[in-house]
Amino acid sequence: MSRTVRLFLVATVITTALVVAFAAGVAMTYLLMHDRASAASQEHDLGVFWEAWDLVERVFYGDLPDNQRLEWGVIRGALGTLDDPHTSFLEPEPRQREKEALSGRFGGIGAYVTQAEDGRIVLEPMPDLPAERAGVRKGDTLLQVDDLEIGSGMSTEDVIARVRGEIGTVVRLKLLHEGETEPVTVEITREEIPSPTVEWRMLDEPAGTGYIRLTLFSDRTDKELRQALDELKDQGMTQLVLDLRGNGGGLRDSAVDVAGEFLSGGPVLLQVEKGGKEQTFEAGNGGKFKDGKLVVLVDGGTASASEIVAGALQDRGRAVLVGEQTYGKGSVQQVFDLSDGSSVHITYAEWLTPNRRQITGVGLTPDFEAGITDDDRSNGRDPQLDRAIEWLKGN
Amino acid sequence: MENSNGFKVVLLLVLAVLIGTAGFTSGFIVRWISMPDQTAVLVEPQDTAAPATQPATPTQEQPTATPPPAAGGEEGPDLFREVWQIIESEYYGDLPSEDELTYGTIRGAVDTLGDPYTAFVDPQAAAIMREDQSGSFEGIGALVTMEEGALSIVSVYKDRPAEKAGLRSGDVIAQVDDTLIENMSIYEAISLIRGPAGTPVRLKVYREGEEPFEVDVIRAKIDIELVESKMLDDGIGYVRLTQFDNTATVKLASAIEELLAQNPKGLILDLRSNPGGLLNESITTAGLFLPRDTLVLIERFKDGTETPYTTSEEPVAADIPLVVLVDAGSASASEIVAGALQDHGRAVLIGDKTFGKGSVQLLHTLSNDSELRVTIARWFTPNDRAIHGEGLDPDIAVAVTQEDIDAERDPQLDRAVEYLLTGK
Repeated sequence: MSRTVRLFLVATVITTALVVAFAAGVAMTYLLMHDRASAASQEHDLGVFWEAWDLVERVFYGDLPDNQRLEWGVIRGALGTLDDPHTSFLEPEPRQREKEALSGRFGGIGAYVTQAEDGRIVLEPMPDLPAERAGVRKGDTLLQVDDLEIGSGMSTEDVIARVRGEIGTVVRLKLLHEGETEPVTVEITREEIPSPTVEWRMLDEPAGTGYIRLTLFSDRTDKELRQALDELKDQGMTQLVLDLRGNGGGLRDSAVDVAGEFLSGGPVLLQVEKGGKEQTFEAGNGGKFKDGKLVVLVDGGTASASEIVAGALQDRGRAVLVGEQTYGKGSVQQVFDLSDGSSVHITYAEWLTPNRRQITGVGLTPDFEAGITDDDRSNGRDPQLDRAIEWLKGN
Repeated sequence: MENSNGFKVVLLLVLAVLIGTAGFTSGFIVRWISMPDQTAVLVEPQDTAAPATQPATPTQEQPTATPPPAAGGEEGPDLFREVWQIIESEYYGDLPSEDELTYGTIRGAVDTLGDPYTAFVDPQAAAIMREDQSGSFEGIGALVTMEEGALSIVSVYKDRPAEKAGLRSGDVIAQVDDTLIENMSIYEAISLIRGPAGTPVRLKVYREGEEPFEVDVIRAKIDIELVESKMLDDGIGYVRLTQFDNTATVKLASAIEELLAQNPKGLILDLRSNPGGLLNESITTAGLFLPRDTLVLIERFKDGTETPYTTSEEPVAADIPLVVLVDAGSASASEIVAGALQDHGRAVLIGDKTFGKGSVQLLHTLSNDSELRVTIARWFTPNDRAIHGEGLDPDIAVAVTQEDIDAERDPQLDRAVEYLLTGK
């Protein structure tokens, strides 16, 4: 893989948003809100707003925004007054990317999209998926998507947004195969493309040690995790390293399910809502790996849903944490989809670990501190994983 | 213009700003600018996603009577209200006061204009800024700009607090004491950095290729000699102007007359790190070198009307070979002077591309004592070149490297002397 960032047709770009977006997975419709809105009908005196904006409209030297952009700006500004970085506004396109990531699948063609150093957008099809079947070859330069010509200023994100779409619909690509001069046009029917969030393997040593890395907590993460645990157990896994480093979170319910794979019932988190209403989320009883030794790797990028899992396993004495202090995001957002496709993420609750630890701004402290340097990374060393293995050997 | 509507309007001829230096001179505001080359590092990714809509083209008959959506207008979905009702019922945390909410909506709306000089200043910050204008003030001695939410340093003044603390051009200030510079106007950001001499201000700084770091800077009174002049060894007269306050032209003229009395072979006018000042001073300064009634500047408004500015006095240095030194810190009034002298072929510009601030703000005090500054006009050189966003290209580009600074070399000045001695 080149140094160019390779974007899986999913949603790679979303990661940043997700730190912010530990969604409760509840999307309320505009209609639902509309009822509530009429009931609550309360006017805000935005008189000074109009005084200001009228002036801008009359004298500002430059282009004025259209109404939608103005409205989005007003909402952003209003949310900014809450001083909560996790309560935020998302425009329709980023919201769509986020939904796709959190569902763990999307309608696409099954190809990697890369931006070459000279700015060209280059494709690499994945085996047995629509792009390959339609004749897309590794190294093809993408020239046009439907009616949109690929310009030099376009990012892979822009391109991905156009290539993806509803399952069953058709996208037309104009391509230039490597070494050829005549472009070809192919039509590809979009299919459901999974975007895995779990990677796993057996470690070389000590014997019987499995390794699982979760990159995101999507709707499908628990299912993938169960498959991973089954396969590792088939290969003789008796102890496990669960890597949550750099995992910025995802869905709360997914975190509860994931923690449940390692616990026999009991609390995973306590959620406190406005007004003090408290709710306990418990692990189920069907966990796949409830007994073997377990180390969880964490770092400063371990946030939100990842911290729910790590915090529960630490408090319940089920795992030791190795690595660095975690991010410290102890709030829960609910995502509200608005009538024009944009959405707001609203912090509506706080969560505590089973031992009632509040982690906002603090994070979880690992049982065994271990750092990693850029030098380690570029030389393929992983002292944090080494420390985890050391613990497994010694206990 | 707006006075007819009964608004309390102060017209400002705004130029650039120095944080912490004499950026304000009695009653005039000297303010900021945009640097297109500075990239934003602090903007949240989701905020940068371009909406798939075309910006409306403003026309003369812009329908001000049509309530934009946030108005809670008569029809259509009112997204803002939709959102705020959810916030009121669901948000876990304290809600802002009605005033803060209103300020937030104004900030958000003004941000959509993409112009850092059009900004809302809440009453508290406005009060601090008025205080600043009333007298001398103290700061850190740095020149800053705001681009896409990132406050970055354009230049630091030699031997002033910012430089002593190790700050340098290109550094991005992310936090001032406990306050993040997010969702904030340049005016508000600057008012946080300023404060009484002797007090410390803690800045969180992002520098390319380094981990973010914090630095304590002790504020000081920043006095900079307005005009500095000397005869160089080669028989070249040198004069430096550090800003355009209301004494600039008078003091500059007398310094030039003293130099001319010594029969120099040429003259160097150093406008580097001169962030600007008063419009009128820039016109009279250009008039020291250009014939009477020469066009210096065209100011253009939204409705297409324009005001030409011309020189009104006989020049004191009409013919002597002239080099103007410029750099990225030469902004606003400095660019007016440099641009006019360049367009009329009166001087050769040597140094770096200039800053590119050529817009005029109207300062409007809203009914609750908050302020709105709105860009109402732009400046163009006599040959109709846009100053704003473009900057002026020097005739002879000469860069100064960090090594030059450390070794106290000035290759731009050296090149100017060479040019005046050799004619090329």
